[in-house]
Amino acid sequence: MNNEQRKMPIYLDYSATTPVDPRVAEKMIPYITEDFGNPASRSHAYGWNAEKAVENARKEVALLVNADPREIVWTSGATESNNLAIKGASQFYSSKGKHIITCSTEHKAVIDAVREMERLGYDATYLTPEPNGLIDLEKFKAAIRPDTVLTTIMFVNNEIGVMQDIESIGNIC
Amino acid sequence: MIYLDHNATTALHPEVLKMMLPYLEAQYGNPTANHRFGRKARSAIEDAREQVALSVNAHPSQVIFTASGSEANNMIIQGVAKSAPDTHFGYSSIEHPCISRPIESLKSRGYLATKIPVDTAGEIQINNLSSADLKKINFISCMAVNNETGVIQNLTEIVATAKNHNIQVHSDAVQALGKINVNFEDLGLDAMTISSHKIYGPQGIAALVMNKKIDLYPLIEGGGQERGLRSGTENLAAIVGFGKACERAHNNLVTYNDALKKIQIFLESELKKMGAIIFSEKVKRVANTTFFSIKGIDGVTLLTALDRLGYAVASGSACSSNNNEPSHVLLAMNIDEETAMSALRISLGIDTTLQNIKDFVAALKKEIERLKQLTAMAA
Repeated sequence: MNNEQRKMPIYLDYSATTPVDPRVAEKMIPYITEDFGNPASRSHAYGWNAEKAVENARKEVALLVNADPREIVWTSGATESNNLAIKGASQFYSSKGKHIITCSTEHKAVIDAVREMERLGYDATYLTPEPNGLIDLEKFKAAIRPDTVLTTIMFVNNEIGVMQDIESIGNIC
Repeated sequence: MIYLDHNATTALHPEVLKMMLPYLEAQYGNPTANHRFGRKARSAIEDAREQVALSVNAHPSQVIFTASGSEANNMIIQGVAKSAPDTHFGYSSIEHPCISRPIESLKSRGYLATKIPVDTAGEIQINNLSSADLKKINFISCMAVNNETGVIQNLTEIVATAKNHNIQVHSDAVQALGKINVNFEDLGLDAMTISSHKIYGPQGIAALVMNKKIDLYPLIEGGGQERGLRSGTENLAAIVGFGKACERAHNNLVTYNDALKKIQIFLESELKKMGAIIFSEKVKRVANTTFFSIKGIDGVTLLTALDRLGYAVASGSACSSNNNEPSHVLLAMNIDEETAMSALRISLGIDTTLQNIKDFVAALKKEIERLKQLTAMAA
């Protein structure tokens, strides 16, 4: 008997990915089969229905994180979001300054995007967390420079699960 | 409601849905994870990559999954520009905005770019470029099939001219896949964009097919998926669906064309009886697309009426239909603005029947008579 034929093991890797909730799948399927319009099609009901569904979802996402629906920009994944935010915001504010603060324990999608900005002539400070995984807020304050345009710190670390004090970091900024 | 806008998007084929469902219903791992869940996900992705590659005669290692055709097009243009800042781009005047906008934005930042003209039939005329222009250009992007007119471009000629001048060629083949034979290797292309939701596969997945001669800088960095060229956790169910959709479309190419060609011939002969002009009528077009105009009838008014009567059609490309402007494709073909404003696009699909089109033609006839009477009364 080979590995694949054996019973699948218990899944204990929910930080890597999670299964689709049956309620989520049920909600999705009509939109990939019947209500399949292109939300950019303005000339018929298929397009209008698709656009309505996209905007409803935008409201649901906004509600979950207490944001305005207009503040939600869809991307194809978090890696894309991180790239978009870091490259987009730092380039947009380049006339104000070219310094970015991040943490050495960030996901590669953040680290690599910051490294790319360094190649483009930006300065980056990589804060080292304390032994408990948390960033020392005093050290964070000290890292801020007049030309700092962006801070990118993850809320919950994917490996150790530690929660950063994002509220205080936000207040300092 | 009869859907006649298959160039905008298509419904998922039941066989494709069937392949995808297990990936939406059970636990599959993150394809980069090393446990059995992860390995199963990884092998599903590699199977799909093979299906995609086989359908366009490319090697699986040449297929890079992206989230959309727009992303793949941006990735090739911006990626080439970044790795070779002295690139001089060539692009046809009828490209989709996801090719023309990134090139024009590069142009505003100091890059060089030259537009390649089309003739009045909508065929790209690479040989109208001066040899001085061809000597300067190093990278060309020309679409394989136009989304509005359905014109099949002469890629063989474009590639031959390009190769004579040492120019690399990318083709946006999103509207060609599933409608004509798309052979990456034989066409001699260096890069090509294809997308799933135009061929009865799911939205949110597409691919950039690319040979090793292209030096590409990634647009999205991170975990290093897709050979480091496109980071981000793979969209597993969508990739599986895309693979199946490619296989299905490739296997059904002959049946698809036989069925739709008959309907297209009927539709166009009826339209002409109503006095319609069919754009690009005399040149090679895909069997599902008819772009036409009826003099004196406003396109938007007509398509709103058609929607009310239960027919979903388009006035041009969906992505630019937010703004009520004449089609840039028709303007590039030197069609006057008034005619362009009355243009409507019918794009047939695998479920479209001859009876659907007979009903559509009858409804269209009635509506045109009504609109003409209204215009006469107003005058």
